Amino acid sequence: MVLPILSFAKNGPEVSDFIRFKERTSTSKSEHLETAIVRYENPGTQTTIDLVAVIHIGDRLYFQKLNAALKSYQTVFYEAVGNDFPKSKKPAEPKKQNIPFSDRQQAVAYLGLQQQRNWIDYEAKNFVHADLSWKELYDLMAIRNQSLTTTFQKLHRLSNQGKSPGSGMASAATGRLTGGDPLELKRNMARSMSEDEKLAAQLESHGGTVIVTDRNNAVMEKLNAAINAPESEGTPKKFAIFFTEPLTCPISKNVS
Amino acid sequence: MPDFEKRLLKDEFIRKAETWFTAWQVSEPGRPEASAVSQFLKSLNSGKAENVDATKFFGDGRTTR
Repeated sequence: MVLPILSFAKNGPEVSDFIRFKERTSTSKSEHLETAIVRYENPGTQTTIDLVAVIHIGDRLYFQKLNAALKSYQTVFYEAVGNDFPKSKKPAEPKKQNIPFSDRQQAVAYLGLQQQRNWIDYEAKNFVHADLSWKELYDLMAIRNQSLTTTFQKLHRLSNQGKSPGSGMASAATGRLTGGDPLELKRNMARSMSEDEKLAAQLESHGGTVIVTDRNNAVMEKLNAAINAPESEGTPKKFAIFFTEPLTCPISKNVS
Repeated sequence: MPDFEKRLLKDEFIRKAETWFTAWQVSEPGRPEASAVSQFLKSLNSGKAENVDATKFFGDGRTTR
């Protein structure tokens, strides 16, 4: 399979990783999953853009550090299909769990982790929603003859073709479970997630998808409007794009 | 993700630096709740790939990726 993104990497600058798993070494007993903030600058337009990766589940301290880092930008363009989060005058605090105890919540509880949406301050003043509404998502999927089901099925197939060790949560349910040991499950999920970035590139290899290409278009439209805004001409600009890695993280129970 | 990076590099942005954040430590003890994980895995394994109600899965009608 010819992958546009990988081809680009071959012919141009090396493409960055945004998620990685640090294995135990002879000098360090620590094993941890990491996500990156990668900085890009355009001297011509005096613009700095940071790509800020986040995963759906992590340690509380991780989300608190990200919240602190995200305060430093003029604007944080965040991805979240649906409507904007309402602005609140209150500082960020954990949201009450007012929805049924979902599969993800059960997994998060088991692993001793926290959920992104409960800890990231999406109501911060500098946060700007930059994603599709559900209607736009489904309309675009109809145009492309895609659906969430077919997209996730394709991801699952790619994962099972051996091109990636697994697909995040789904892999835990398809042969990687290790006798109910939460640490082993945590380790395996971390390894899988660190590899799943490659799946997104493979998924995009045939003209793109709504869930990646079209959603990214929505972000870039808002970003470019901010960069080219007349009122900010000639002044330094510092923006962030806040996105979730890996693509496979939210695969649901409905994927077989 | 690489797609964003590809777009930025095409627009003459130059990659400058990267900072890494620890999302979770494997060495930290989890909270073994056997029934919860058992139910979670059972539901994953028995699911049908039809009639996905995304808003129901994502709980509050919003989701990131």
